[in-house]
Amino acid sequence: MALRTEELMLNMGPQHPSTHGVLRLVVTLDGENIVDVAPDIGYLHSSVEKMMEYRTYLQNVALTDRGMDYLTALANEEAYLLAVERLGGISVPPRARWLRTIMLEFQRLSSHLVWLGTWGIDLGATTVFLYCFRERERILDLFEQVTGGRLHHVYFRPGGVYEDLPAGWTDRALEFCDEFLDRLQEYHDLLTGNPIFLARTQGVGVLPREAAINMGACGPVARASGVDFDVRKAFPYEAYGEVEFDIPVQTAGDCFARYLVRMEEMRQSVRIIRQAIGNLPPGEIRSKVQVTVKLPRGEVYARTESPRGDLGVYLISEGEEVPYRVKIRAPSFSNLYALTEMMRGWKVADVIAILGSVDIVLSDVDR
Amino acid sequence: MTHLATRAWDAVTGLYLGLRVTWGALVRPKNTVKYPVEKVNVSPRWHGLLALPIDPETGSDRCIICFQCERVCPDRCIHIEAAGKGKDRVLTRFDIEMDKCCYCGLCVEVCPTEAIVFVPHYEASTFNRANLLYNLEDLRRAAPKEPIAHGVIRMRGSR
Amino acid sequence: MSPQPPPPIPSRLAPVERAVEILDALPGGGVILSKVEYLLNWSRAASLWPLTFGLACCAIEMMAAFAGRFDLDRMGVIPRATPRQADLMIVAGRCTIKMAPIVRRLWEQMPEPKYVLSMGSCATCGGPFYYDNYSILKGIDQVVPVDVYVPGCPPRPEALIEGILKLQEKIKAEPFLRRSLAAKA
Repeated sequence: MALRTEELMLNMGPQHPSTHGVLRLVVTLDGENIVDVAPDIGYLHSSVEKMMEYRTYLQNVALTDRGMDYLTALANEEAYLLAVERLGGISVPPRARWLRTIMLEFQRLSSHLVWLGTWGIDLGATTVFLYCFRERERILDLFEQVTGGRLHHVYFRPGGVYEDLPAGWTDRALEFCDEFLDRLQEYHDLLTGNPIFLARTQGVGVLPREAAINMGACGPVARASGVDFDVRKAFPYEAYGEVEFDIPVQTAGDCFARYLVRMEEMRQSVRIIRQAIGNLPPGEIRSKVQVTVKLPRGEVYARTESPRGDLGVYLISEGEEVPYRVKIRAPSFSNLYALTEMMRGWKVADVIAILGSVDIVLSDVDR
Repeated sequence: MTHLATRAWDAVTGLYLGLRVTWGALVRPKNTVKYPVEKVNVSPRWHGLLALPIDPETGSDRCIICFQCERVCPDRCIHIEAAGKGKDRVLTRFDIEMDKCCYCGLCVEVCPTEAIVFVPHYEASTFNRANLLYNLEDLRRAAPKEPIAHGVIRMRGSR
Repeated sequence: MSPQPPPPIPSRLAPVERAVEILDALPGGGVILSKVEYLLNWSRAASLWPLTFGLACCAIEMMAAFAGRFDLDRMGVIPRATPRQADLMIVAGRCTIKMAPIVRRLWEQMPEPKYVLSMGSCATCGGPFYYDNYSILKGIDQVVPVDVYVPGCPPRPEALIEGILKLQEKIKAEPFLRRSLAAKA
C-alpha cells in the first residue's frame, strides 16, 4: 500500500498486564502496522553473575534459582551444577541422575503450564489460566513433598540431590501423569479448535527457518520454525541418553506452531517421567563433596535444554572456593532478538499474541 | 459457499468442544481451599520459618555454637555470638533476619545437631519490618511473632 | 518583583470535612459518625482492588493466589490493570534501581486512600540480593511507604492472603472520616 501516515511511537510497559514481567517495548507504528519494535530491557537486572563471584559453589545453587529464570528453578540449578561437576570431575550416582531427570521434566511441565495460562489470558481465554494453574498446583504439591519448595527448590547439590523421594511419591506422580494426559486433551479441546484462537495465532508472527537460525533462536521457538535441534538429544546429560522421547518439530514458524510444539513437549515430558520412574535405580543419591568444595583451575561450558531453550553456563575457576567468573547464556535473551523479526509487518493487536508465544521471562533476559 | 459452510461447522464444533470442557469442570469436585478457615496441610519438608526447637532433655536448644550455619548462609542473615570458653560457652545472640532469608535450607543441611529446623509456619506478615528480626527467644518459641488467630482454624483432612 | 505564590487549590473533600466537623460537635453526632465510619471502612476493606503489577518470582505466586485453588476473589480482591482504579499495590519481587522511579510513579497515580503490600524478601529489604549487588533496591520502602510486609521467598499464596487479611484489619481500624481532624489536632 502506498498510503502511509506519520510514524507513531508507542510505549508498552514496563508496567503492562501482558508483557510478562517488566519488559518495555518501544513500538513504531505506521497507522496500525508495526514498522519496528525495540525491546528495552534491564528493568530486572539483578547482577547475579557478579554476585556468584562472591559466593561458594554450594551457596550459588540458592542464587541460580532466584537470579535466573524463576519459572524453571531446577533447570537453572542443573545447568550450573553440570558445569561445576564437569570441571571438578565430581561423579553423580545413577539414582541421583534419574531423580534429576524426573524433577527437570516436572519443572518443564509446570513452566509450560504457566506459559499456556498467561498466554490464554492475553488472548482472552481466561478459563485456560484457571485450568492450567489447577494442574500446576498439583505439580507444585509433588515438588513440595520432595524438595520443600514450591517455586525455589535448592534441591540439586554438587554430586547429587539433597533428599530421596518420600514414600509413595512415585505412585502419586504416576497417578498425576495419567490424569494430566486427559487434561492436556482438554486444553486442546479448549484452544486448538477454537476459531477465535486460530484467527489470532495461525499465520501470525512467522519466523522463517533461516531467520530463526540467524537470530540465534533456540528451544521451542526454533523448533516451531523447523530447526530440529534439542540439547537433550544432541548432547545428552543426566539420564536423557537412556530414555526414549521425540522432539516435536513444526515448520510453519507462526504462533500456532509454537503453541503446538509446547503442547507436544508436555506430552513427551510425561513420557520421560513415566520411563524415568520405571527405571529408577536404587542406591546412593549423593556422592561425598565438601561444603566448601574447591574446583581445579580451568574453564568449562555446560549446556542444557531448559523449558525456554538452550541454557548454558560458562564457568571459570581459579582454584578457589568461589568461581572466578560465571557467564550465563540465557535462552530468553536470544529469543528476544528474534522478536523484532517476528513482529515487523503485523498489526499492533498481534504484539501481545506474538510476545506471549515466544515465552520470555524477564529475569532470564536481564539476569 | 462450501468454504463458508466449513468455517461455520468448525466454529460450531470448536464451541461445542470448549463448552463441553467448561461444563464438565462444573461437576468435578472443587479444588478451592477456603484459606483462613481451612488450611492446606503443608508437606513435612516444607521450607517455612526457621526455629531453634527446645530439647526436652536439656531444656535448652541443641546449638553447639559451631557457626556453620552462619558461614554457609548465602544471604548472610544469621548472626551468632557466644560468651565464655570451652564447655561454659553459651549463646548470647542468635539472630535471623527473616526478611533477608531466602529459605534455601542450607543452614538446616549443614547443622550437625539438627538444632536449626524448618517449622511448617508461613504466616508471619507484619506491619513493621523490625518484627522480622527474630532473636533467640523468638526462634525458640518456633512460631511467628504476630500469629493470625481470628476464628477457628482447623486443619484440612489428609490429602 | 517576587513571584506571587500560587493560590491554594480548594480540596474536593473540604465540604465533607466541614460536615464531619459539625457533626462531631453535635450531641450524639460522634456515635453516628462512628457507625458511618465503620460502614465505610467495612466496605473499603471488603473490596481491595490491587494493581496487577508483577516484578519477579513472587508475581507467579501472586498469580497462583488469584487462580482457582486459593482464589483471592473470595476476599473481594480483584486485580485491576491500571493504577487509576486500584487502591492496593502488591510489590511482588525484587525492584531494581532502574525500575524504582516507575514504581513510585505508579504509586502516585493511584487515588487516595492507597496501600502498599511488600511481598517477599526482595521487596522487603533486598533479600538474597542485599550483599554484593549494585542493581537491586534494598527494600521497596525506600521508594513507597509500605503497610504490610509478607516474608518468604517467595511466600506461599496463603501467606499473601494472610497479609491482605492483616491489611483489612488495619483498614477497619482507621479513622477514615476523621483523619483530617486528627491531622489538625
